[in-house]
Amino acid sequence: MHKNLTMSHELSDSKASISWPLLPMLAVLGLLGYTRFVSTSSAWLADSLAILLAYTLAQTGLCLSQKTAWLTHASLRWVVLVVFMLLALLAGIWIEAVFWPPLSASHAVWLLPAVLVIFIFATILPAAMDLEIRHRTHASLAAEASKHKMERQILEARLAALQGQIEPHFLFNTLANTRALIHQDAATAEQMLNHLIAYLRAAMPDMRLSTTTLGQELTRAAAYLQIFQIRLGPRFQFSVKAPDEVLACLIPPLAVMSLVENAIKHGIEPQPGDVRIDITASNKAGQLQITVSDNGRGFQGELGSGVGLLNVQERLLALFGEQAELQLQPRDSGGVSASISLPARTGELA
Amino acid sequence: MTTNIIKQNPQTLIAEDEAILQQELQTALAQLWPELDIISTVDDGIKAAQAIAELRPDIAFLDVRMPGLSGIDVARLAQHPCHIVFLTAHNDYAVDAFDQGAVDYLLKPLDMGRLALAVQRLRQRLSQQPADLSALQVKKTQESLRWIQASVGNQIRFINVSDVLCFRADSKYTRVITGKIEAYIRTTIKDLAAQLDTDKFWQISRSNIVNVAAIDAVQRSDGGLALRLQASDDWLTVSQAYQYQFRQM
Repeated sequence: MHKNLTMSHELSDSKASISWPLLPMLAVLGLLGYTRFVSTSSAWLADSLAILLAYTLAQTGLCLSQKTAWLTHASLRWVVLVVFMLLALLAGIWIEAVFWPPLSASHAVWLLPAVLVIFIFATILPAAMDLEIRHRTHASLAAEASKHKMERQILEARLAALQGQIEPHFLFNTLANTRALIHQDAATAEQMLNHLIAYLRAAMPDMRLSTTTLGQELTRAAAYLQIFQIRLGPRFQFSVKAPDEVLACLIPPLAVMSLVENAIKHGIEPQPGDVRIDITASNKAGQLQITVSDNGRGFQGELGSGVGLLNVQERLLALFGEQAELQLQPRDSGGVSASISLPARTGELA
Repeated sequence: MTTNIIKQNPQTLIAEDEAILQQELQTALAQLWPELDIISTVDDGIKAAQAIAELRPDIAFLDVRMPGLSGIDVARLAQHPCHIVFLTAHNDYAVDAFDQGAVDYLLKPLDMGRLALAVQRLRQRLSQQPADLSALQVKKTQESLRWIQASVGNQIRFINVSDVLCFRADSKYTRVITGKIEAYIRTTIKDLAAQLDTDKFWQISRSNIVNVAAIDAVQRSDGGLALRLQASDDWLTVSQAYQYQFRQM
């Protein structure tokens, strides 16, 4: 039982790798101070001041563009950077003209701007491009990771669908009933077989699909509940109510069946006396709401190892994030009301 | 003068919640063992326990999954000793537990040959004292805990155990802390420790269990150990008794 405890760092954050131009700024201030004490003007002082000021401004622009949170788009960051580079250029020319008018006149007009432009480009551009490339890599890695997570969830759902199709208890008990009915009541035996066939047919949907329609899922749930109607006799009643327009909505496979199976297993079967399950579905302002209520035994323990409902919750989270929800509530009249709410869609699920 | 010992027919109880299966078993027993008296048929576990206490049958056929009480519980709590045959659709109930003592079990759908064998065994054992099943226990499945139901307001939340950062004892409740929510449950730290996967969760003191994957840093302090969880500034002390888990790191 051991584990390496290493502090894991995320891909080193691009924001941390550039720093504000404090040193050049201090140098600019220092040089400005120096000019006040020195009466003779010198060309090297003026040129250094212009270049340092331009560099300070351009670097500030780079820092601002990279460290401002709401500049999420690369083009926005480039605009900010270019504006600051232009400011840097103008400031360089301006400071030289203000402090040393005679000197600036003696230059060739294009010389200072050219030197400044080359200096700014040489120092700022490589850093900016490097940072932008890192941004892009970071974003594509994150997108890749979330895509992988999604694919894994869909695979798991499919696996769960394949594994958890038919509970052996359900199947053997149903077959036992069917066989007994052949002698006791042949017509009901035939009905039972028809329901079992309908259930099994719906239980083996096209496994390449990661979604099913609410209509299909409700058909399967109804067949399943019909079987219990025969097995448990008059003590069990059920209803399924869904308006036609929601039947085409897409839902993750087994989502509704998991709720129904859960209600039977933990609510209905352990509860003596008259019991019922009611399934309703509706579209409320674009949200598909499916509710499975029972009046069975209600919540027992608070711990569990079964994965049915957990899988439903995780699949909803993976497909819809905050837009979908699995809710379980104890009912005042006893039993449990379980409902899922997800965006009502008919084309693509997510 | 001769005394006539009137050999009474053996009496049985059938407890099966599904009427069709109950009917089938009744018919089959009538054919295989005509002198067997079916004195009562019930459809839930509570009625079964009452019928055993009141009617004192020699034999009881008990469905394992029944409303009210399970067949196992009925047998365990039986106030009158009787020979018991369990009925189940799937032997997920650690059937080897049934093999201890004079108990039989039948799988549904019933195999008539197998039922005949059970009847034969029962006939032989009727003269013997029924086995004492008060200690009968179904082996608990050794699956580790996967989810926790915790009420947050009027809602029941399902918390995936792997999302839990730590469990902390808090007066008579246990606080469950995940990255998103905190909730209280009634299960104690001790009971949780027994059910959690010990590769993934380590108890570090009498009142704390942590998710190993959520440990951010461990440090020595005053000869002891302390650890800090992700997204937290608190250092939790690892008690002496639980430090062995960290030795091999």
